[in-house]
Amino acid sequence: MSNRVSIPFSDSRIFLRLIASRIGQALLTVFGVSILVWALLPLAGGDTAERVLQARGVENPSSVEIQAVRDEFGLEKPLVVQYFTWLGKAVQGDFSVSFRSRRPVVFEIAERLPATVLLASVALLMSIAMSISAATLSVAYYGRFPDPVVQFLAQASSAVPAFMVGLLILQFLVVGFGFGNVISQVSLLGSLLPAFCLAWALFGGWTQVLRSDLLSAAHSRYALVAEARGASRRRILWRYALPNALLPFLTLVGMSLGGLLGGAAIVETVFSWNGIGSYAIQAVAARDLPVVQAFVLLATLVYISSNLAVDVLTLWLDPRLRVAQSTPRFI
Amino acid sequence: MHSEFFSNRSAVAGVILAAFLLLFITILPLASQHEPNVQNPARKLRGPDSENLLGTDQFGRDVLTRVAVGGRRSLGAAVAVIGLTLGLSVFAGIVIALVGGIIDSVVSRIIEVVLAVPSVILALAIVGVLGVGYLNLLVAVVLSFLAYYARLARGYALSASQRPDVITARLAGIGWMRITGTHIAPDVFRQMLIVATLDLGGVIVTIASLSFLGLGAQPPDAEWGAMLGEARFFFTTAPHLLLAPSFAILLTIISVNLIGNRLKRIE
Amino acid sequence: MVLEFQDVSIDYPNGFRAASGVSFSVEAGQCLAIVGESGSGKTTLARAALGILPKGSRVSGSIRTGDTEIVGASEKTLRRVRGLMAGFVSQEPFSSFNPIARVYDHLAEAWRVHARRPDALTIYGSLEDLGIENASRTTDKYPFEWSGGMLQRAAIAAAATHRPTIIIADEPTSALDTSRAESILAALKASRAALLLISHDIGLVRRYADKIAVCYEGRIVEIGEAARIFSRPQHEHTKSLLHDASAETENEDQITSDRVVLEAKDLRKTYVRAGAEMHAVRRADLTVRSGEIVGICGPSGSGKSTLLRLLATIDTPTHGTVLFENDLVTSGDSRKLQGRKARTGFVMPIFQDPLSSLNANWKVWRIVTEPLEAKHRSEKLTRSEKRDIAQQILAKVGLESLDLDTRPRRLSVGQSQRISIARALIASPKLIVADEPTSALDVSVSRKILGLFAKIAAAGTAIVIVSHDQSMLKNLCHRVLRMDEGVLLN
Repeated sequence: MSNRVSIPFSDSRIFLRLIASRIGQALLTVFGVSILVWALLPLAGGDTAERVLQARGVENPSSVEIQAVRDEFGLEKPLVVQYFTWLGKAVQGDFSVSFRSRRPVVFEIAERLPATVLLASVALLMSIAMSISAATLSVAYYGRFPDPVVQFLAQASSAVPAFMVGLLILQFLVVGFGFGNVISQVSLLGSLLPAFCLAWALFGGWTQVLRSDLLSAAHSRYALVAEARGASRRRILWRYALPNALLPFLTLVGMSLGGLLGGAAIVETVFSWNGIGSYAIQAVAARDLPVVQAFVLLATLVYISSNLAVDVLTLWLDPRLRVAQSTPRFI
Repeated sequence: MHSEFFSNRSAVAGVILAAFLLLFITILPLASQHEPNVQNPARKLRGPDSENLLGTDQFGRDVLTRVAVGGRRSLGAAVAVIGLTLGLSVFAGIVIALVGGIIDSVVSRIIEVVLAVPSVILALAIVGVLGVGYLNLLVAVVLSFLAYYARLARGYALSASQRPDVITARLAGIGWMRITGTHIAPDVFRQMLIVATLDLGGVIVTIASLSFLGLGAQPPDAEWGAMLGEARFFFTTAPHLLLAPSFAILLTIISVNLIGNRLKRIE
Repeated sequence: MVLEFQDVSIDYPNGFRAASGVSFSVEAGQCLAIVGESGSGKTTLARAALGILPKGSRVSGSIRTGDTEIVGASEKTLRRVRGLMAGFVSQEPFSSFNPIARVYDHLAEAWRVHARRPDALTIYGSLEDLGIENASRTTDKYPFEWSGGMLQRAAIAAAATHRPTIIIADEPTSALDTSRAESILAALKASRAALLLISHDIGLVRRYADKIAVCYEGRIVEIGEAARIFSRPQHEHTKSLLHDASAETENEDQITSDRVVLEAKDLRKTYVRAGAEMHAVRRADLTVRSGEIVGICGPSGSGKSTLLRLLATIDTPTHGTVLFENDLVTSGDSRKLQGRKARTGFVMPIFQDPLSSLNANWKVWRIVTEPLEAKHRSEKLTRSEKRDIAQQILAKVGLESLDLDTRPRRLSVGQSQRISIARALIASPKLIVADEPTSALDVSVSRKILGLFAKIAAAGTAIVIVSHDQSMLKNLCHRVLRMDEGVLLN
């Protein structure tokens, strides 16, 4: 056999080594992001102690009060020490107290987390279901109805932003037909409308990518050979095109999960959905930095871990990724 | 290239739409007898009539004039943001790709870290640091797009440096600086320009969304996202307030998408 | 009669007429070879026999595979023909296999698509008949872990699964080197089915075809017994195909000079990724004298392109040295280039894809004269001087009438490749390295390009040319070396 087989692939050690290296990279990235997130507070400028006191409602703080806050936050220590102190606490879930409510940030987040998890999960399932069915439908009926409809909807998804869909739904479905409520109830049923808005934003891009991957797989040489062996068109779509096209789609889904929380911030505000997204928006507007820090770190952890999960999954599903490869660099 | 571009009907439609929008936002505020920020308590939340063609808002201001003036702000901001991002990222991407070595490794590592923060979240965090305001929002959007663009530009520069014409020039003895100036930079810029055109719609949406949430343009400044953000509190009584800015955003995005898709196609 | 075409014309959905008035037939057990250059419509005929033309193609006339009429048949009827009555073997083996399914699944699919239960022992047996050892273990691997030749055998086994009366093989050997190609044709022959063999290489099919049909611009211009076609070709096009294939001897011209231009000693190149080493080049020694044309042939993945990059100093070797006229340029000890002759146009490359070799936004004169801007050249030329030089050099490559202000997108691939060569010449190189320089061109154009190479070598420039096309290399080169699994064999 040729030199492209320099390692026997069935060796599961390579699989494990690749996974270990991905996990290592992910941890390194989390460490880097933690520096970035911590830096938000010092970067905000001004005297941090005064900002904390102001946010707590102390208008003209005395020097004693300022000194007390400085000691509390360790503000006179070197930045490196401050960072590791912050990191040590953050690892234990201690993100200090909200500037506004003076309650621990972790409580504030924990109260609102279930609502957002519900919303995001429903939205994720919706957009996966919507884009897979739309894309397969449009490839199965390539060039005829309903392919153009799917393409139009996918285009429309990128032209109509999520918050406008939200406003339209409120205007027509909720106010016009009395379907649902302007202020959403946190329940599975109540999550459907806001989740649709979130899913809508992802639907277009996902469908377009999946559709074009399905098409190129359906027009590949291996599909032609399968057809020449007697495979039906349906079999080619389901057994050949879909498994091959789902691999890049999976990566795309993993990459979109972080953005889902950003989208949730907007949709939650439109629907008055009391989750961490709308809470984060209020915190940003009020420069309540401990809350912003916790939110950014949370969203990033979701993003990194979903990417990691998808990485491992594709590594497991796609044998080609498990082989050594290299591109030469021009000198 | 030009004739190829215009040989497509939807690309022509995109250009006509863009021209119409530009004309609207430049001419209308000059021709209108209404001032965008002058309040008229006597005519609050009126529907469209002969005096105010698109009605008035909660302060009695003319919606048509405000949409046009808001368009200047929205479109100007989007173009400025994308232009700045493009310029910075093409420069940074080419430099790190061609310098290579430890600098490339370190900067690429930093870029990976920044990219681990989803872009809307990053923009939110930066607004949180800088404080609410339109300029701050624009800075935040530039910074949140920059890492992604720089990585893309770096990739294009690397692959351009592997292209046969570049290898040939290099073997012939042409210096790297000259090759960068004549082959790599124009090529990277052209590819990035297409990416930027395709992303223009996304940038408009991002800015409008954050303004809608009250993090961008502040009253009394007119801006499409901010207008929608204010209008949503009146949408049961004055639904016409939602229509004009929504349509403006919609038409803009359709127009830039039509143009961008065509540019991508003929590349 | 197992396959019969009667007055078949085929129009593609874009209006292109791919075949017109084609008639031929294949008897049981017989091998008919359809030969012709790329784009002559021969692949279309192969697909038409199975009813797998692109959607929207229009077919007129009659195609009978076995006792079934293909033209106008329902999908259900067609599926009974495909795989059961007629087997199919495609060209590039790697892209013919579903990349994420095991090789076993590919063979089992031949049963499953007809709702039949695959039998593992039968599958292993069919592979072992074709010389694949340990089939139960190797079929558990994925296509990319197989070699091209072995994979093509597996494809033949799959095509022959249901003992079809005819196997249609579309360029089954085009991705393989000559020795492997022979064994693939032997394997096809061993299936005892009738064979419709599509090929661009008339020399290769000589020993296997009973009848040969010559395809040109969608028509069969000549058809007859193989022996007759070779001994008494009638159509002009047949003669020219035969002429290309006839050269069995190497270029006999004497090399007058014994000046060594390039010397490569014990070159090796190893890439490391994910902790595993990949040996692209394991061992290569090569000396090239001025005016010499050296050919390197080998299957894809044999490391010949990597070797060429090392020789041209596009890449540095992991081990070994490259010398230009006894001057050390690269060695495995350093990632940096050394010596005065590096990056002076001493060696110039010609690439496979002529279009991407030219900067799409430049005018021809600027592309051609770019090497004059090199750092080591002190003289600064004006625009009109450069245009004059461009005019002269374009005349040397047979483009004297080309407008100097043309941009690449208005050029044909042949013209583009000539411009690449003109640009190489303007650097006055001692050595030109060319990687598959004619594989993007059709036969007549590539013959002219090769003639140009011979002329350049005669003027004293050495040429190292890499290709998988052995007969082309034999025609042109003074020496042809083989590259196999990273080793350059002398």
